[in-house]
Amino acid sequence: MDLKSLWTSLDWAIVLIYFAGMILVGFIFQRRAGSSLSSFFLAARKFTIPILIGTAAASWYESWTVVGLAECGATMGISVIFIYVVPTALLRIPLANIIGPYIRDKVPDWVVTMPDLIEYLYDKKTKLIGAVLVITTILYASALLFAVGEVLHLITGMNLFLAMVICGAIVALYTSMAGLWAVGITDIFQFAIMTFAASMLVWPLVAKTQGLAHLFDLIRAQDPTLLTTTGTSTPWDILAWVAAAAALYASPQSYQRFGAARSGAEARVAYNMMMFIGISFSAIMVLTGMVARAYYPALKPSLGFWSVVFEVLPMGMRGAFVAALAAAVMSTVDTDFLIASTVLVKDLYKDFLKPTLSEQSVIRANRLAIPIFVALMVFGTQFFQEGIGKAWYYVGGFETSAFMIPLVAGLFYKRSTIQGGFWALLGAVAFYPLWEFILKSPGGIPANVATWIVSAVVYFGVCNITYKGTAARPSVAD
Amino acid sequence: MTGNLRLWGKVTMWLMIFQALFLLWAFYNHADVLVYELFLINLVAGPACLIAYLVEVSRGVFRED
Repeated sequence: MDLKSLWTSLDWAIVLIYFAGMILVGFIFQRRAGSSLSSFFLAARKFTIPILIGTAAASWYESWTVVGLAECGATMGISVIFIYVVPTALLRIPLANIIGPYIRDKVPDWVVTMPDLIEYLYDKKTKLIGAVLVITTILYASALLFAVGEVLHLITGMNLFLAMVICGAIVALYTSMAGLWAVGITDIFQFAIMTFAASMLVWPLVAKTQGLAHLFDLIRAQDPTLLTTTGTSTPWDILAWVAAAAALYASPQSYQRFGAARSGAEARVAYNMMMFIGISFSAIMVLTGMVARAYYPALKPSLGFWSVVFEVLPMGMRGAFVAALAAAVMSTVDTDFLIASTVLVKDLYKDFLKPTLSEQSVIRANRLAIPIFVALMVFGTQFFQEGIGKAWYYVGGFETSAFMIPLVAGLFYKRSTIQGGFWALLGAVAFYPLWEFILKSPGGIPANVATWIVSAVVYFGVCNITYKGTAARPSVAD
Repeated sequence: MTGNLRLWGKVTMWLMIFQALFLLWAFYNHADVLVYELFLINLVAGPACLIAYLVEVSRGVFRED
C-alpha cells in the first residue's frame, strides 16, 4: 500500500495546527514558569487530577506504546496482554497508592528531582551516581525522535532529518520557555488527541474484521500460538517482560509528577486513572497489530500497522492519528529534556560545583541547556536507526535495573543504610554492561534480570552488615 | 475533601484492577464487548480530562497569587 498517496492537505493541516498549538502554550506560560525553580520544574506543586492524569499518561505512553505494542500484537498475539500490559498495571499499584502519596506528602520540599530523592534516601555521593545515570538514559529520547521522524518520512515523504529537527525544535521551544507548566498543559492536549484518535480506530477495525471471533479465526489459521497466554515466550522472556513493567518505579518522570501534585491523595487518584486508561489504550494498539497480522501477514509489522490505520481511517483522521503519534513522542521527549537539563544544571553544576548559583540563574541555564540537549539528541538518532526496540532494551533495561532496588527498597526497608544504597547503585552500573556486553548474557538470562538480582543481593547484604540499630530516616511503613 | 479523595483513591484502584482482569478475560474469550468498552473509555477519557482542566482554569484554580 502506498501510504503517501492517502496523505492529503487536510491531514497536513491537522498536523500543522497541532504543532502550532504546542508552541502557543509555551508562549502563554513563559512568564509564570520563570518565577522560581519549583514553578519551572514542579509547576509550583499545583497540578490537579486532570493535569496529572494527562501528563502522566502522555509522558509514559510514547511511540513504543503505539507502534511497538502494535508490533507485539502482530508478532506475539494476545500473550503481550498477559505477560506485559496487564502485569504492567498490576505491578504499579504500590507505586500509585503508596509511593506516590508518600513522595508528595512526606518527603521534604527541597527534594525536587530524582537525584534529590536519592540524596534524601542515602547521601551526596550516591546522588552523584544517580544524576549521571539519569542524564545518560536520555539517550532513549534519541530513539523516540528517530521513530517519529521515520513515520513522518514514511507517510508524508518529508526528509527524515528535517522531520526529526522540526519535532525536536518544537519540543525545545515550548519546554525551555515554560518548563513543566508547558509540559503539563501540552500533555493534556496531547493525551486528548491520543485517546480520541485511538477510539476512532476501533469501529472501522471491527467493521473490517466482522467481529473479534472472525479476527481470531484468521489469526488461528496463520499461527495458533498467537492466541495462547504465553505465546512462544520462555520463562526468562516472561520474567524480562514483567521486569520491564516495573520501569515506572525507576522513572524520573514519575517522581517529578508526584512532586508536582497538589496533594498525595490527588496523585494517587490520578495515577490509578492513568493506568486504567493506559491499559485500555494499549489494548487498542495490540488489537490493531493483530488486525495487521491477519490482513497483511507478509508486511513488516510496523508497515502492516500503518497500512491498517490508513486503510480504515478517513481523510483528516489519518492526520489526527499521525498527530497522536507525534504527541505521544513529543510528550515523552519534552519531559526527558526538562529532567536532563535540570539534573545537569541543578543537581550536578549547582550542587557540586557552584552552590551559590541563584534560582533565576538555574532557570536561565536550564533554558539554555534544553536546546543543547535537543541538538545532541538529534545527533544521537544515528545510533538507533535499527529501531526503537534496541533502545528500550538497553537504555530502559539499564535504568530500571540500576535504580529499582535502591529507590524502592530505600523507601520501604527499615534497615536501609547509606552504604547499602551506594554499593547497590554502583554495583548495578558496573554489572549491567559486564553481563550484557562482555559475558554476553550467560544462560540466556537477560541483563536487566541479572542486574536486578545482583543489585538486591548487594543492597540487602551491605545494609545488614552496616546497620547499626537505627535507620537513617523513617521508612514508608513507619 | 481529603476524605472524599481517599475514597476515590480506593475506588480508582479497584476500577483499574477490574479493567486489568476484564482485559484478560475478554482477550482470552475474544468477547466483542471488549471493543465497545475500549471505544467508550478512549473516546471519553482524554477529552474529559481536557474539559475538566479548562473548567478548573475558568474557576481560577491556577490563578497566580
